[in-house]
Amino acid sequence: METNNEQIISFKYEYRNYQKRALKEIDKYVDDNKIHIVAAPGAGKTILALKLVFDFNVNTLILVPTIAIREQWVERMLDDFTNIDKEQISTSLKDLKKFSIISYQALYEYDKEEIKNIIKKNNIRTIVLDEAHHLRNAWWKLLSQVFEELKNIKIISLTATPPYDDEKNFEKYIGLCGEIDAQINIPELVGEKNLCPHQDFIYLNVPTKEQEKQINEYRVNSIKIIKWLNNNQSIIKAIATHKFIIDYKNNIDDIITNYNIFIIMLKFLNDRNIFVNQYIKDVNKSYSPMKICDYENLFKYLLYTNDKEFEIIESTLKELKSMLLQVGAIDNGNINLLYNKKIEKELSQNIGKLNSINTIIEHEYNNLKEKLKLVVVTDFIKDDYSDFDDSEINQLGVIPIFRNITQDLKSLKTCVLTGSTIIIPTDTVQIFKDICKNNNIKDENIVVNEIGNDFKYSRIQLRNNSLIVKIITELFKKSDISVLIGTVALIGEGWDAPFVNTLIMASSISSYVTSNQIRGRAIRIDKNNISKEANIWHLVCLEKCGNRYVKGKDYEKIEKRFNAIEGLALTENKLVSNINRFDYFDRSLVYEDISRINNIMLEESSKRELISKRWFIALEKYIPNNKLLIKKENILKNKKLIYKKNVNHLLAIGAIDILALGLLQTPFWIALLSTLNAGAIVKIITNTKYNKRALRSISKTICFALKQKNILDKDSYVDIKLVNGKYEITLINADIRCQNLFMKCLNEAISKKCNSRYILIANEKVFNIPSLFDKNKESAEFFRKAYNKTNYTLKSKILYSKNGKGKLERLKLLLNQEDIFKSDEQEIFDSNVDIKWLSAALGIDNDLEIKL
Amino acid sequence: MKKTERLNQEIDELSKIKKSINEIKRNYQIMNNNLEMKKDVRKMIDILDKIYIEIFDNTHNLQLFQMYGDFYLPTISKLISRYNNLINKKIKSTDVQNLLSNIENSIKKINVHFQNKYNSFFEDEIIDLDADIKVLLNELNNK
Repeated sequence: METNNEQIISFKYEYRNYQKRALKEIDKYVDDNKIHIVAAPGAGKTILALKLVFDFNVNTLILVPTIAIREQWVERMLDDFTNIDKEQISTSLKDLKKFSIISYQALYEYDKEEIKNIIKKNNIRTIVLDEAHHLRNAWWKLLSQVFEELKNIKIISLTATPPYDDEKNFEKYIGLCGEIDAQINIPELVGEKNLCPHQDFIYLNVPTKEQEKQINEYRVNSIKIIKWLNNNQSIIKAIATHKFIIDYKNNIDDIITNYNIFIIMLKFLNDRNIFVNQYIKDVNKSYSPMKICDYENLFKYLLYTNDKEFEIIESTLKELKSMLLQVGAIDNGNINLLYNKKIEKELSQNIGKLNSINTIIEHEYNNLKEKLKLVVVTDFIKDDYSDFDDSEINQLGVIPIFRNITQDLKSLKTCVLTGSTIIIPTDTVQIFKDICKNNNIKDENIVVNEIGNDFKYSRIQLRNNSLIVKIITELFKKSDISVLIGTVALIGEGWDAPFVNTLIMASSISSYVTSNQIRGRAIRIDKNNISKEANIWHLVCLEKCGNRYVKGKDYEKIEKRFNAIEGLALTENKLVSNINRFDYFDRSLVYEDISRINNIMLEESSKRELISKRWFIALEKYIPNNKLLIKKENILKNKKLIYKKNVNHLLAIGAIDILALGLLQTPFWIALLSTLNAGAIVKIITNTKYNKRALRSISKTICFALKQKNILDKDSYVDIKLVNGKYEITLINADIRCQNLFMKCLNEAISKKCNSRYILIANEKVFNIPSLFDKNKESAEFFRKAYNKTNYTLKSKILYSKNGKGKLERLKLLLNQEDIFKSDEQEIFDSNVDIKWLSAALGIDNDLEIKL
Repeated sequence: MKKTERLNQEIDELSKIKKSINEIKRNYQIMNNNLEMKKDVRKMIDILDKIYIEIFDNTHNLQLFQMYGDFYLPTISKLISRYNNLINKKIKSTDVQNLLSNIENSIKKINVHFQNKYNSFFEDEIIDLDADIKVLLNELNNK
C-alpha cells in the first residue's frame, strides 16, 4: 500500500483566518503525538485534519461514525486538494491504502489484537478520530487499549462538541484524545461568515393545574420524610456519634475524602441543636441550615454508602428507604426530594408547549411568509396518537405537535420526518416521487396512504429506507412546506439542511454535545441565501408558587443548555454564554409577566434584519478567551426579603446551593468543575469565601509562576472583573492550551477536594499548591515565592498537609473557609426552590412578601 | 429537662463510650497476634459492641452504663495501651511482668463484669418472662 507520493498534496483554496490561527496553535503541540481540534460545525475541521495528514505524509487511518461522513471525507480529499487521486484512498478495512477511511463500527468488529496487527502490518502512523465525542464507553475502551500498546502513532481528534458535561467520561475522553490544542468558536465562525448570524429566544409556559397538584403532593410527602428524619432520635444519635464528629483527629483522611457529607452532618446536628465537638465548634462561628440538596445527599449517604458507623440503625434506615421508595424519591441510587423522574418528564413534556409551538410558527410565518423553513426538534414520536382524531393530547411528541399544527394552522404545510413515520402534504407527493426517481427509487417501492378526513396529508413508506432523510430534506427545500417536525435521534446530529432558518428546540435535552448539535442544524450558512439569519427558540415550563411563577427543573435544563452556548444577548449588542442574555429571569414572575416576556420575544424575533448588524458590532468587542466565573457573595445585599412568619429555616431547606460559578465559553471548565460537584444538578465551586482579592492574588501567582517556568508568554496577564455578580477570571494573551493549564492550576488551588501535598497559607487564606508545583518541597517553595513576589508579602508559608499537624491545620482552614455560614439574603433571594418548597409544604404563600 | 437537653446528654454519654470503644479497638489492632491477651481484648470488644447496641436506643440501659464512658472505659483503654507499650519495650523485670499479668487478669475479670452488665440489661425481661412462664405452668396444671 505504500505509494510514492512525490508530489506535494496541497489545499486548493486559501485557509480562513481562524484556520490559519488553529494550524499555528497546533504546530506548537504536535510533540505529544496527540492533536485535538475542537471546532463548531462548518469550521472546516476536515480540511484542517487533512492538511495535517498530508503534511505528515504517512499511512493514515481515518475513523468516522457514519458512512455519510466517510463519503464526505473522500469528497473533501478529492475536491479540495491537489495531487491526490482515488487510487490512494480506501474505504475498506480489508484493502487499506495510504489514506483509508473506515467507520468506528467496522473497526469494532475486530478485537484489540487484530486491530493492532492491522495497524502494524499496514504501517499506519497517523490515526484520525472524527467526531471524537462518540468515543466513550466501548469504542473508547477498545481504542485506548490499542493506542496504549502502540507507540509513535499520531492521533488527530476532531469534534465540535467534546463531552464537557459528561463527568464520568470526560477524563477518559481527554486521556485518549489529549488536551485540546486548538478551538474554533461559534462567534469566530460567524465573524468569518462560515456560520450565519442567529438569535436565541425563550418562550415560557406554565404547568397545568394537574401538574401543579402533583408537584405539591410530591413535595408535601418529601417534607414529611424530612420531618420524620429530623425527629428520629436514632438517626440523630447515629450521626452525632459518628466517628467524624466524635473522633475527628483519628479520621482526618476520611473526613477530607468525605468532606461534603461531613459538612452536612455538622449542619444537620446544628439544626437539631446538638452539641458538636469543641474543636469543630471553635473553628465555626455558625452554620447555615440544611438545604434540600443536603438532605438528598444525606439520605443517599445513609442508604447507599457502606458506612459501618450506621449499621447500628440498620432497621431505621430500612424504614427510611421504604418511605422514600413509596413516594418515588429514589431513582437509580439518587434521591430526589423536589422532583422525581415522572414530574420532571411531565414538566419538560408540558402540553402547554404544543400551543407555544403554534404561536411561534404562526408568528414566524407572518414575518417570513413562504420563506419560512422551520424545524421543530423533539425527543419522542408518540406514534400511539392517531394522526387525525379528537382524542385529547396530553404529551409532547412529533405526532401530537403535527396534529396540533395541522388543526390550528391549516394554511401551513407541515411534514414529519422520523425513523419510523414519514408524513408529507398530499399535494407534494408528486414532487416527492420525482425526487425519488432522481435517486433511482422506483414508484413500486413507494407506498402512499392518505390520512385524515380531508386527505390533505399522506403517510409515506419507502421499501429502501436508506435515502429517506435525504429525499424528505430535498422535498422540504424544494416544495412549499414551511414546517418539518423531527426527532433528536434522526435529525439532531449530522442532518444537513442549510436552508433551515428557524428552529424550535422542543427537546428536554440539555447536554452540551446534543444541544450544540441540534442548534448546529439552523446556523449553517446557506449558499443560496447569503443573508440568512436564524432564529432559535427554546421552550421552558416554569413552576407555580402561590400566585407567582418561578424557575424549576425545566428552566434549569435550559439554563444548563445556555451555559454552553455563546450567542447574542437579546437586546444588547454583546456575546454572552449564559442565560443572562435575556435579563428577565432573575426573579419570580406573575402570569402577566409571562405574557409580556413572550410578547417581547416574539417582537424581537421579528427583527431578523438587525441580527447580522448586531452580531458584527458584538464581534468587534469579542475576545475568544477561557473565562472562569465565580459568583460573588452578597451581591444583592441591599435587597431584602421580609417574612411575616419565622420561616427562615424552611426557606433554607429548599435552597439549592448554587454557591458559585457560571461560565463563559469555557466548556473545559464545565467538565472540570463538574467533577467537584457532590451530585447536585448545578456545577459548583463551593468555596465562595475567596473574595476578589484572594482570587486575584492566587490567579496572579499562578500566572507569574507559569511565566517563570516559560510556559506562558511574558505578555500574558490575568484579568478579573465583576460581571453580573460573578467574578470573571480571564487569562489574556495565551493560547487555549495555556488557558486550560492556567484554569486547571487555579481550580486545584481553590478547590476543597484537591488533595495536594502542600498547602499555601497566606493572608488567612489557604490554597492548595497546584499539582504542577506540588511535586516536592522545593517546587512548592517556588510557588510560595511566586505568591510573595506577586503580592508583595513575606507572610506566606507552606505546610506539608499529609502529616498529623498539616492535616489538622488543613481541616481547620478548610472549615474556616467553608461556606456553611448562615444564608444571606442573596442566597435566599436566589433560591426559588425555597419558595416552592415553602409553598408546597405549608401553604404559606400569602404570608410571604418579597420586597426588592 | 427539655427534650433536646436530654438528647444532648444521651449523645454526650454515647460519644464518650463509643470513643473509648474505638480507642480499645485501635489498641487491639496494634496488639501482637501471639498474645493470649489479644483474645481477651477481642472478647471485650465483642461484648462492648453488643452493649453499645443495647444502650444506643434504650435510655434506661444507658443510665445503667453511665459511669463507664466517663471513667471505666477510658481507664481500660489506657491500661491496654500501656500493656502494648510495655510488651513492645520487651522489659523483663519482675515488676513489669507482674504488672502485665495483673492487666491480663484484670481484663479477664472485666470481661466477666461486662458480660454480667450486658445480661443485666435483660434482667427485667428475664424476670417478666419467668413470671409469665410460672403463671402459664400454673394455669396448665390447674386444668
